[in-house]
Amino acid sequence: MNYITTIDFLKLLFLRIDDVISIEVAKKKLIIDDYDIERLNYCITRKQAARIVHNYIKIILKEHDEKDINIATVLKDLYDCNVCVNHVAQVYIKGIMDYIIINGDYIFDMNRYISNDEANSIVERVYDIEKRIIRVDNVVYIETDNSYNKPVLIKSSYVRSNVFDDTILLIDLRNEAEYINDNICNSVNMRLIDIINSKYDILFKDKTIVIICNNGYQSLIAANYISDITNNKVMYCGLND
Amino acid sequence: MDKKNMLRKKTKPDEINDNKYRFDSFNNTKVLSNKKKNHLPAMGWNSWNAFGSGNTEKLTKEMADKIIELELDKLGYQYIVLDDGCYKSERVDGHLSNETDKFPSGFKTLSDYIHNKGLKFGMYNDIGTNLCAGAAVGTCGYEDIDAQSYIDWDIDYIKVDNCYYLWDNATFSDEKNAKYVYAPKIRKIKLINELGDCYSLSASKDGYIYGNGPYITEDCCVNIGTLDGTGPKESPNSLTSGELRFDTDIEKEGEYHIIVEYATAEKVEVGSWIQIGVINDKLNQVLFDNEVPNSENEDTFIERDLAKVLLCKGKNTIRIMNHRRQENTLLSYNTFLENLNIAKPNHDIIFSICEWGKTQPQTWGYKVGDSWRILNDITFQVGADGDYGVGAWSSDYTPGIATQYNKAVIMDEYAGLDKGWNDPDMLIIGMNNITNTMAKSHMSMWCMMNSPLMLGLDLRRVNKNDEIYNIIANKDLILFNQDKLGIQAKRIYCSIIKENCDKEYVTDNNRVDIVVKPLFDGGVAIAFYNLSGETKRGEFFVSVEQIINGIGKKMINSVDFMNANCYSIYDVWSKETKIINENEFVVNEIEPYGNITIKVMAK
Repeated sequence: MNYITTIDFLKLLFLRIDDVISIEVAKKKLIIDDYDIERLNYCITRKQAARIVHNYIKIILKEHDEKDINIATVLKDLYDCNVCVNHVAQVYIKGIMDYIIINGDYIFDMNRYISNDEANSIVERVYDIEKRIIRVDNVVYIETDNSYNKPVLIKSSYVRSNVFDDTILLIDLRNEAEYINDNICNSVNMRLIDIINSKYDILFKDKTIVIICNNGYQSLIAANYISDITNNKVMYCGLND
Repeated sequence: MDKKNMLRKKTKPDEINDNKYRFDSFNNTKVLSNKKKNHLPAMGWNSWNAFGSGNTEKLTKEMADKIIELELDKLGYQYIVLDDGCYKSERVDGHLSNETDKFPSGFKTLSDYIHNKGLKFGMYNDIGTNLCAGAAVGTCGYEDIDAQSYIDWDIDYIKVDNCYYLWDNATFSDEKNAKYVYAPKIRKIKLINELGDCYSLSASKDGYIYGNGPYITEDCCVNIGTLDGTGPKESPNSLTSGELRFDTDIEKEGEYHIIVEYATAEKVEVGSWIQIGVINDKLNQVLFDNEVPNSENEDTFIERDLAKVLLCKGKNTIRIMNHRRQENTLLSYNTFLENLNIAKPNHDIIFSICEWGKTQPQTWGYKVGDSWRILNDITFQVGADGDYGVGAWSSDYTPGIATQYNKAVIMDEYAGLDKGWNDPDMLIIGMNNITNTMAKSHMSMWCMMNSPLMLGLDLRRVNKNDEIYNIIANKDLILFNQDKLGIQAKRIYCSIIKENCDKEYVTDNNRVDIVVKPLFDGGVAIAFYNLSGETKRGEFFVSVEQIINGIGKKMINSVDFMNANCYSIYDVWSKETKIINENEFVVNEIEPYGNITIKVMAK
């Protein structure tokens, strides 16, 4: 059985957004810590993955924690690790990582390694909410409170066929070559890492924001970030939809 | 591996070479290694509930600044404690080292900063090989080096837990470590002397359980060890460990071989470490205390001659036991204390024992430490910079204010100035889901129970005289907690049980409790708690007589209190005083999760 190393898991997790998240940035943003860096070439354990995935979706994707973690208490080994409890509970409740059944008990299996297939499934579920495992019918995957302004996914056909006026800030996250060769009228080219490092905060005030990228991953991240810091309407789109 | 490293790798628990470390000495009230007594409960701020592993040097300094700005130091909050998350994940040249992104200036600089503010500096480690989050910097095998580091950093307080502990199946430890802390299944023992006289005693027919835990199944005795106290199911007041004993009537005095028939495994309830003790008119000794050869599996029994003992004529009690869960842990904590003593004789470092109640530390913790956790954590959803974390009033496991209170409130007899304090974990005031009413009850409970008061919130959000401030800075409650008599409150009324209110373990929160605490100035603090989510209306009262019955022996002036003509009642929240002529203190209504806390003085 091939188990995935820590570094390969991180690349898989961060890969969707290209070179935006490097190991150094991930450490500075507290997504990973010293322990993970010492173990980049070792196999990653499930409890390690739970912590990193939880930190990532919280800090970068701005997903709020589920406040009530009672559903996760079905996991028999949930409390085996004090410091992991919330990380495991969150990835379980959000349907990103699953249990196994041993002797009739639901086990998260903290110390087990992760196969390449399993790693791929986990990362798929991080980004594609439709693929997450439903725990309870009415569980909300991303906790919304009244002030949280959810970004809206729009179709590429809409973006290509419209001309956007001054009230809209149309942001293209693709690389320079793509931006020039497949230019969308009235768009500006920005890099995702600059957006989430607060370089453009002041430009977002008072505008409706439309963000585009190729596959809808990068634009979702930027959209969540901007929603968090403004009350504006925010839309995002993957041009390859 | 170089020689230095080889010496540091232990392969089994230490031999016990002095009875003072043994279970039989737990209730002799004697401390070890010059442990200093008369420390009042520690007060301060700890990083874990506030920021988890995301705590940094910068945040810590800001917290120290806020303690001064809010004048909380003047109220007694003095220890600033770095919990897990501050070390590099590997030792540097065998030494602990600061994580350079989060703590760039190092621990000494931070310690100096905190001391310059007139505050005290605390840190954290564990008795295992790794910290809970995995960093390979546990003190096991490095106690001398680490103690020196901590003295170099000028610490005033240290919190030590037991993740990755080698000599028990503690958090993260190998499950097989259970072999050290449970005896094998025991089927039979034989006592044989040189003349061939043989007493054959079977566990099921001739043995009996002394204590709690072991049980006889089919023809053997299982689960000889110490009950795990981490979870909320077991009462701390029932017997927390058990032995298999045999009472024999010996005809001929002399030396006898003790042969034991047993089967081993490496799991909870069935291990491979036996202790054999004998009690008779002439001696009370532990004769054997070691691993035994493994049997093929737990269903295949083997016989071994383990010890020789002098039995006297008449009654001899043979003890087959394993108290190593408690003894190993005590030894490890003691080793840490001894090394601090070597590095700095006469230090006054506060020692917070944090093995989550697993080894029933209320029975031995006083020998080496100033406080002992009694359960697993009060919350697992700790905060971060910008996130308040999540607390609860109660839960099915250990999280929750009431859940921790329910166990601590019946442990008052374990606490005291000559011993130390029960620790129902740090304060969760300020977390999401904790209302002001809950927070007030939480503060009252922890103060009445003489618990350490460790703030666990981001102090930057607190301003003088705002709601949170008025709770954590309640002078009257703090004075109860820091009262010179050092006596934890006793529960003398519980609305849903008729007797033994002070000792019976009650977990149904649909009730009202009344606890009373004698004070140095002759006053008595009384708190009424509504543990439920509904308003409680009725007559909830305690009489002067009931108070005297409950805590009279501990009061400074019970006679004056008993015979007074009238009493003044001061409410710690409303700050109002009234005088009453009756000798009963009554409350008719308590809001959900609420408390009424008063100080009563005889007039």
